[in-house]
Amino acid sequence: MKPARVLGTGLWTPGFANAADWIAGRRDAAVVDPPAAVLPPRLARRTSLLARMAAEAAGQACPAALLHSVPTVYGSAYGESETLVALLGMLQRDGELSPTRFHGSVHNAAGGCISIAADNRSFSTAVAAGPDTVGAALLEATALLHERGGCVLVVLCDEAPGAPFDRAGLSPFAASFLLGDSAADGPALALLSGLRRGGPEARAELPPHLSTNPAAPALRLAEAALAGKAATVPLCLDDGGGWIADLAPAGAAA
Amino acid sequence: MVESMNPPVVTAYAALNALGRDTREVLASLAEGRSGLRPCPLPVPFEATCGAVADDALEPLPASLAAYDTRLNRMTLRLLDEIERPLDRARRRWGADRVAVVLGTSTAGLRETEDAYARFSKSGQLPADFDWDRRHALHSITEFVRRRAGLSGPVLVVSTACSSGGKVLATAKRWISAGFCDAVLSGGVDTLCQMTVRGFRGLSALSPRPCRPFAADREGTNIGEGGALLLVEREGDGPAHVLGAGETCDAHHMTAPHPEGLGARAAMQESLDRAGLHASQVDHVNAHGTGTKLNDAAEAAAIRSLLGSGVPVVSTKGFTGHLLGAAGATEAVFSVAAIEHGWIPASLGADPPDASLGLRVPRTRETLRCRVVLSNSLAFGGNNVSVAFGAPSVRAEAA
Repeated sequence: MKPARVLGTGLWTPGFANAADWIAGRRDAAVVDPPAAVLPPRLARRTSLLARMAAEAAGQACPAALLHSVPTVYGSAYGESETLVALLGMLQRDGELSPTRFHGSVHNAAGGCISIAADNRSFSTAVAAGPDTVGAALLEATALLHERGGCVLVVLCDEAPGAPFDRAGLSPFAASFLLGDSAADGPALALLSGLRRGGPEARAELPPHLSTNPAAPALRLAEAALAGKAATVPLCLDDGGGWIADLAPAGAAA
Repeated sequence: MVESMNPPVVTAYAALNALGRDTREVLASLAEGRSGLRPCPLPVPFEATCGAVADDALEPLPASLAAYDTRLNRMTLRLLDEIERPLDRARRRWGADRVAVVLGTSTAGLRETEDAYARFSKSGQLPADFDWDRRHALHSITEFVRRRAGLSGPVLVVSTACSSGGKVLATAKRWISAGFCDAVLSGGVDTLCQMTVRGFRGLSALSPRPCRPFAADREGTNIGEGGALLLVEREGDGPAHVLGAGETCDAHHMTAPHPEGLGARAAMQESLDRAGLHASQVDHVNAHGTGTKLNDAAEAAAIRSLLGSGVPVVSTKGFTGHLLGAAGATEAVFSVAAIEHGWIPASLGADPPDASLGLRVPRTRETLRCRVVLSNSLAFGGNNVSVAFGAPSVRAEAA
């Protein structure tokens, strides 16, 4: 794979408004709802936490002007699970489903919302690969760079589904990466020089409250990209074998 | 933007839906103009028509894979069994780790999740065998397929609602071109469930009677279930090539298409551009054609403005219903079969057609030597895909 330049990264999780705060360990109890400035307030009010997390992370990694045209890959193992559980409740109550909740339950709901808000008519996809979602979304992004060049935005997010499907370690989390293939796109944080399949060593070490969130391995990639050094970054949630990213310093560009 | 790589080949395919228990039955019903639409088998408090797969066509998964046993995976098993031989040949030719699995679904195991939640509502407990990851989640299908078929290449689920089953073919082409794999088992599968039937009803998008895409008095769509698999390989002999794909967004509305079909038109244009084709080379369009007033008008505007009014445009949803995440893959099979067999199906239910659409919509099966077919899928979130399939001779000219 041709190395991809990591041009920006974003992160949001309750308590941490961005990647810099996460890395510095600056927890702020007031960070409970993502501002999602890329969504107009009216749209933001009607969208799920997952979509607002995705919008917040997207806006952190990608300049507003580029958000209008950048191809985007949304990766989430479970998608709009809070909305789904709300709809399951409606099915049990009287069987009438809220139309807004229904169309907001599709896996590409966040992508659809953000494309409307940013008037972005280019490529958008929404993908999943269970515990390997982060690596699989990055793989699709690098395939897009190979296919069309330019920049690609990758947004990863997962949330707690709510009872009775909740599990420990699944706090909400979103992260994003803006990838590009040319020095003309501006300075890079690091190079994503490879994606490869590993065995049990592909399992990412995660804090307990994110240990079962399939998007959370992106945390380690964001940290490594901001450190800007050569690094091997496991991206899989479990030890069943999954993707590993190789990062190189930005100056290592060919 | 014309792509230089030789386009990958569809070397095998299988389809299962309301038209039949296997591909042969499905294509025979399509050829003979027999609809699979029937009164909805799910208990819903309104009149609804659906395209359901016959229950007795499906069998439980083998004991070793019982954790993945859902209606979705039972349908997938049936499809896998049908292409077992070509898939085995591809695995031996390229190596198990060079065959990727890229599948589309929107419902995944939602049918079983609905049942599990109903049980929880009554008893306060989920059924003992309910498993969020192996039954409910999107990756249930790819994990099942990977295990059943013994494949170890890269895996992805594409879930962009009703465009999922078309976008998997774009990803397949992209991954082979990037060198990530040499073959892709692609496709899409979705099941009927309460959520989709009631959800589309809530959007006033359902017709109580069999749907009639492109008809003057069309009144909505019907939900269907089933799926299709297409084995796409870097090289090989097969009836058609994946020449190009275009993927766009409307950036207009979550459920309503852009009224002039700008996103759909851009997807078709991009597909042709990537394939190095001119609009005049398109012999046939398998349209998304859901049968709602808005979809058919917007898609017709897109087709008319790009391809003119002469190309035969067919919606097969009057046969199968709208297979949602499986629609694109199912209609890809119909597109490849049109190239392979030299006929295009009737656009069932279109009579009398909506003259204001300005399309040529065949109401009976037509013999047609198709060399280039476009297959459109348009989704919630304004997500569009158009895949260009071509006969092997088209590839030879381009090379």
